[in-house]
Amino acid sequence: MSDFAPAAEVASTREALTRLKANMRQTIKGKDDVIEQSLVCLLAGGHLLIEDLPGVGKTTLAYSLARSMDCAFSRIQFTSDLLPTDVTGVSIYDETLKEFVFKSGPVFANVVLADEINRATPKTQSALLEVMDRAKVTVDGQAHTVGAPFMVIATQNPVDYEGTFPLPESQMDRFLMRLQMGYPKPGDELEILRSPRLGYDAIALNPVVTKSDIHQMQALVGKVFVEDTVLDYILKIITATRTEVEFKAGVSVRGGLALRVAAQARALVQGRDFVVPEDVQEAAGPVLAHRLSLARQTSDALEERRTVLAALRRIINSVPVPE
Amino acid sequence: MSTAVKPRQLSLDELLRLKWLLGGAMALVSLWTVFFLDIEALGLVGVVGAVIIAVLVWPQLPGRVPPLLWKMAVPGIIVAMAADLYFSPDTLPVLIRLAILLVLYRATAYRRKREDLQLLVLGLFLIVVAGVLTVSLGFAFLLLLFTACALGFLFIINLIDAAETGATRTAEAETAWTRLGWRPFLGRLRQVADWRLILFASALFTAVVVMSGLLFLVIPRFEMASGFFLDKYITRKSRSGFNDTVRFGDVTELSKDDSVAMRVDLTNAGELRGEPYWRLVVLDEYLPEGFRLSTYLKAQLILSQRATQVVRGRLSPVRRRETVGGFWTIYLEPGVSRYLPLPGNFGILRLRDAAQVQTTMPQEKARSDRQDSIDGFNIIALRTEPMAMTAFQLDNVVMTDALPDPQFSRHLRGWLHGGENVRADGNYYSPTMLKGPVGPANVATLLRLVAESTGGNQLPADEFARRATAWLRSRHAYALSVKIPKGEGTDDIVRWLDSNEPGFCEYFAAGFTVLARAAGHPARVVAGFHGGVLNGFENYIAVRNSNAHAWAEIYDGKAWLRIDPTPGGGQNSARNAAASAEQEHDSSWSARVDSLRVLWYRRIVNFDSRQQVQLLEQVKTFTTDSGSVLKLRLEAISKYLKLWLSQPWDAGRIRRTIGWSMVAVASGWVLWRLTGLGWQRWWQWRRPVEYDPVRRAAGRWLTRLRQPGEAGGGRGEAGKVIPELQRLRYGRRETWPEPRAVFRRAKQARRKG
Repeated sequence: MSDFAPAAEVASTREALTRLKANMRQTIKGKDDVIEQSLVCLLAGGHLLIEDLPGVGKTTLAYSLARSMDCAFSRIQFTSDLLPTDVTGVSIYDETLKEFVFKSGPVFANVVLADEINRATPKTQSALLEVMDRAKVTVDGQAHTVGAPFMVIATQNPVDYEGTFPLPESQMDRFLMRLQMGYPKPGDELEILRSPRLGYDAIALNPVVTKSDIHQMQALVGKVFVEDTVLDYILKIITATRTEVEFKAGVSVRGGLALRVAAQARALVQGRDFVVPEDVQEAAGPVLAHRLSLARQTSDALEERRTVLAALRRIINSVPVPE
Repeated sequence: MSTAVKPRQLSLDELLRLKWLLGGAMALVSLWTVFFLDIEALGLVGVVGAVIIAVLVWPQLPGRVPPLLWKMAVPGIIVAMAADLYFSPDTLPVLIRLAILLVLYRATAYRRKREDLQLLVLGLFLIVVAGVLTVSLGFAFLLLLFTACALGFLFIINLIDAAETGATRTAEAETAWTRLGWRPFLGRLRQVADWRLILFASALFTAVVVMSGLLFLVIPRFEMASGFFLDKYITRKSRSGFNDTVRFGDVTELSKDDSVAMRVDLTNAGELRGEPYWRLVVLDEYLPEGFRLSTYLKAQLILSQRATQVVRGRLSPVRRRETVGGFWTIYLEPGVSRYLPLPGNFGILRLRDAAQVQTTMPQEKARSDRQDSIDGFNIIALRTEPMAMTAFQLDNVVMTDALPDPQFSRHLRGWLHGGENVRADGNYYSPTMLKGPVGPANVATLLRLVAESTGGNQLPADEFARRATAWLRSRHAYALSVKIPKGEGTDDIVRWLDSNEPGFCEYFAAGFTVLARAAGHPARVVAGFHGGVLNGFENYIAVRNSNAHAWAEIYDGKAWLRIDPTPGGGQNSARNAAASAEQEHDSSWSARVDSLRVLWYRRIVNFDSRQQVQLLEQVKTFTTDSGSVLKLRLEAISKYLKLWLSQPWDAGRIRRTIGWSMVAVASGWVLWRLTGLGWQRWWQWRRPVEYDPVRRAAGRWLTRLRQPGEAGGGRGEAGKVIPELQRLRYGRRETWPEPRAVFRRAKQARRKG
């Protein structure tokens, strides 16, 4: 218990996060909760999957998060004919050097926006697996490290009609959180309608945090204190998902760890150096929902999402909160 | 460090589940009491009980029943009740069956608070009815059980009420409690079961029981059953053969019934001389299929009926306890007979409550001189077979085998010389006790058998009885199954007499009576109990239904002599055969349980307020005595201390005093440490991880400050103090603010907010 979260660092983190939030708010109107969740994901060092109907600001969110940080950003538009090498890079023969040279792909950046990830074939999708897990790309037996910090922000449509390949469960597990955007409130939408900007190029954001800031913040997350009863609370929620009859299988051990990290990150976002049960409750939805699948088949994906969330909420309500 | 710390309170779902459990238990207990009532509902109770147990074990079941069925339930019950009312002769059993059905409905459907209370009231109704109708020990036990369940039930309802405020739940969440697994639920109950809670609950329960006990001691007695006229609404089918007619074979059925028929409380067990014969009813009239109480006697009994509490016996009543005869209290179980068992002559019979009593005993001087006096029968009967346990006391009891009846010789003379005393109303005392089987074949056979048994001489009654008994026993063995030889023209009992077939008490008694009448001696059959087992714990005799017996009485010109012609002198069962001349002494476990019942009877079934006053006085003297003893002790100690202090101090004394006090302090400290350690260990064993008191206090403050509907931060003062409380509760110990200051501020915030 020597790793201590110094109060000064907690304060500076909070200050940096406030800057980030303010910056993102310039482009994302009225979605403070989603912004906060995405920051939680960033702090926890996880990857983010944003899912919603087309045109509600998924890409804008990813874009503005990436642009607010002073680090390398790349964007991959996933299509059905995208090849794995298009993502990771390829070794090509260099005539002048008389050897194979690795030409790094777009994944070699700090923030990678994988747009409409479920439109690529499973083969290409799984090319992302290793990168997301270990922040490394292995081509021809050689491992190449991608940027650090490394974060994949993927977007997808839940109900796309044709030419989509749903992400396999293993891939889903790699994402720390799945967020929904939802439609903005009427007032906020009016403001969006009023703004003259169109398209991403018009998004002109200045980076407000540096790479080292992010490193520091991510290191701080691990030092956020989790009291025993809160750990027990997490454990209970996790085990409750495993006994719930509606789910095919419960949350994995990785899922449990993810919930803890996310709760720690949320505590930090809230400016605390300790986790309270509310953090766990707030994080549980985005962290756990995409790791659970229903035992019975549902006709459409939206209904499945709804049922899973309802069951999860019921579990959270039924597990007694430590007093 | 393990993470086994669990929240200390049950969630709403768990509370609902507990309520379901307690409600079911209550319903089952109240159903159980119906077993005490002898009404036709046992099958219903069995089915209903099984259904209730099923829904207790699987609480999801009621949810699977189609809603239409629930809607049909109430009309269905009403229809069932109407039909029941139409077909049933009594009202009370219908009401009880209705209550059972309603309990079923309420105990199996999911209940709201109002319906919970309905279940409580229904259960209470069943319990009270059963308790009023049967003053039994089992009822007291069930009432205690019910009280405990009901207290817990009400407590849980309160808790649920508190937990439900402000929370709106979806329909799915409403029934979430039914899906709790048994094992986790019981585990949670065990976790939550705090010794303080258990202590508190037991204290509350004891307080309720003690309070009601005190109330019981203080309030004046009244007879509930007669107060509510409940016994008018119910007719009982008689269990015993002790009716006005005894057919051959009735007593055999009884001998299989091992339940206790009556208990007799003796002031002194030495009063017993030999095995007692409990006389219930005299059967004087011969019929080809058995003996019965003649219509004339029955009519006389009815004529003698009056409401009374006291019946005078043949002996003079006692003024003081220490007289010749004993002072016996008899508790007769319900369903045995309307005739009261009498062990012999007595002074006065005192019933616990006034009742309609019929008796052949002369109650006024004038009557005993009447010509049609029937004093010699010695029968006391109640108008109806009592619903509840009947208790009565006999004083100056003298066990006797001869009942003097000088009046009867006059009747006899009248019959022999002047025929029957025919009266205008046709109701006359006919010589039933002289008449046996009629018809030439019967008479010829009987005369032959009489001659065979007596050797052809005309003998006096006692000599005849001895010879006839010996002759009967030489021809017939004892057996519970009897085969009567077939034949025409003669009665069953005559054919049996003429054969070598074995028989049991009824055959011997009836055979003897028939023989005696054929020989010209007036004789009659008496039915009752013989023997009984002395309970080794509480000094009373338990007489079982299997002790039922029949014997004969023969008239010798002055008195009726008791003759027991059955082989073994009436030892009609294997158990009695095993008994020696000494009274059998039962000290088995079941006897101990049975003795509890007599204790209950002695305490609860009082004859008057005398015992009540005695008991109260005992309580008072006990408390004042112990108080004065304590006072004396204290005075003595203070006197000694004064003396000790006033003694002169020298160096040796001071040293001794200091030394001893140090030893005392040290040993006290060691003792305290040891018990403290033991306590701690026990505490730790109960609760693997005890979490920090500061954390616990902070958690409590957090829940208090965070009112429902005000989720999250809170306003003003509370908003400022909540983060600090959170830090105390969940934060790292090293970063804690000063806990006491934070709690003080929390208190202020709460007062303001």
